[in-house]
Amino acid sequence: VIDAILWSVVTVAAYLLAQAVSRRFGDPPWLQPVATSTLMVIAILVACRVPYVRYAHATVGISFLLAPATIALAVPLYRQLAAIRRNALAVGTGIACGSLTVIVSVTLIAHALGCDDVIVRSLAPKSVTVPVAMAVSGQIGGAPALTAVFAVMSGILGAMLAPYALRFWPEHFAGIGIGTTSHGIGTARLYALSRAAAGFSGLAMGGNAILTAVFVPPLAAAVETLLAR
Amino acid sequence: MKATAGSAAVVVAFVLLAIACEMLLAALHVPFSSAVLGLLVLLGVLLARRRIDPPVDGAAHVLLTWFPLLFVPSAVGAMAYANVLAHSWLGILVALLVSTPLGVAVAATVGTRIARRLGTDS
Repeated sequence: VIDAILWSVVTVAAYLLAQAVSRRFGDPPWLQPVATSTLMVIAILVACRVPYVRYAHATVGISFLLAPATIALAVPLYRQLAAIRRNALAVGTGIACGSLTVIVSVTLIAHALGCDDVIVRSLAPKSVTVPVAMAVSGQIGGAPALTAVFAVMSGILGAMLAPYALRFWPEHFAGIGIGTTSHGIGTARLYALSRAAAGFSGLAMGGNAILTAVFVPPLAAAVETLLAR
Repeated sequence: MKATAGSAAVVVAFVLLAIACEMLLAALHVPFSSAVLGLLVLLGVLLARRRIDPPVDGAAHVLLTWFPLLFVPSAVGAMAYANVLAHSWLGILVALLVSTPLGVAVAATVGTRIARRLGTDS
């Protein structure tokens, strides 16, 4: 219990500090509070010689809140529902094409650059929300915990890209792009920039979670049979 | 939007909904996200009620404002894989740095083009 309180407080404090620093510099894309607070926590854990397992166990409370926060995305999504219905074909096709692009490009590049088979499998489902990514990774012979790390990295990357995406594309489709590739972390960043974009992003995140859960395992099996020949 | 007692109750309701979805998926042996299932359930509720009550709005706002913090423990998991990451860092880094912006660009561009052609996005 002391461990849980201690490490939860350390995590929240690190995040608040990271957020304050980021605000002070005007929230530049390269300074993501998730990334900087993560590095701070890792530094503290290493300095105190605390293994990750103990920290993860102590902070299950924080991780558990991910589920209700994801559920809360239904609110901005509901507000955009009329616009989403009007654009159903554009939204659906965009999510599907983006999803496939990431799965194919990430696995091909990692494979070409000599990554282990387990790493390639762990990268394939990395675009989606952590619990789905981990489940799919386990199904196709990846390392689920490694996939969680890759998923968070993609999310942070998407959070960095969010302000640029809003400049390049209409806000609805910037949301589709970020939600398809960067799940909750990208969507959370968008929520601070544009509620409308966050509504579309939440939809894309849910849509890609379903697509990845349904299509990545058969895709992996197909690639395997092709390579076995 | 202030965090009122009503909003706090809604946050608790979201937590209970998440637990219920988790238990349902575990019982059915479906490897899916209880969070995304819960999102769909809440969306269904909002559709049925045809409005967002202020406590629900407040609860969602609080949770979404603190959303990034909740990912920190998962991200710290990188330290457990320091060996793997140190060994294959180049491939992983390039794969992530290329695929993520590429996916954003493809999804956003395809969506924008189709919406323009159909004239659906105002």
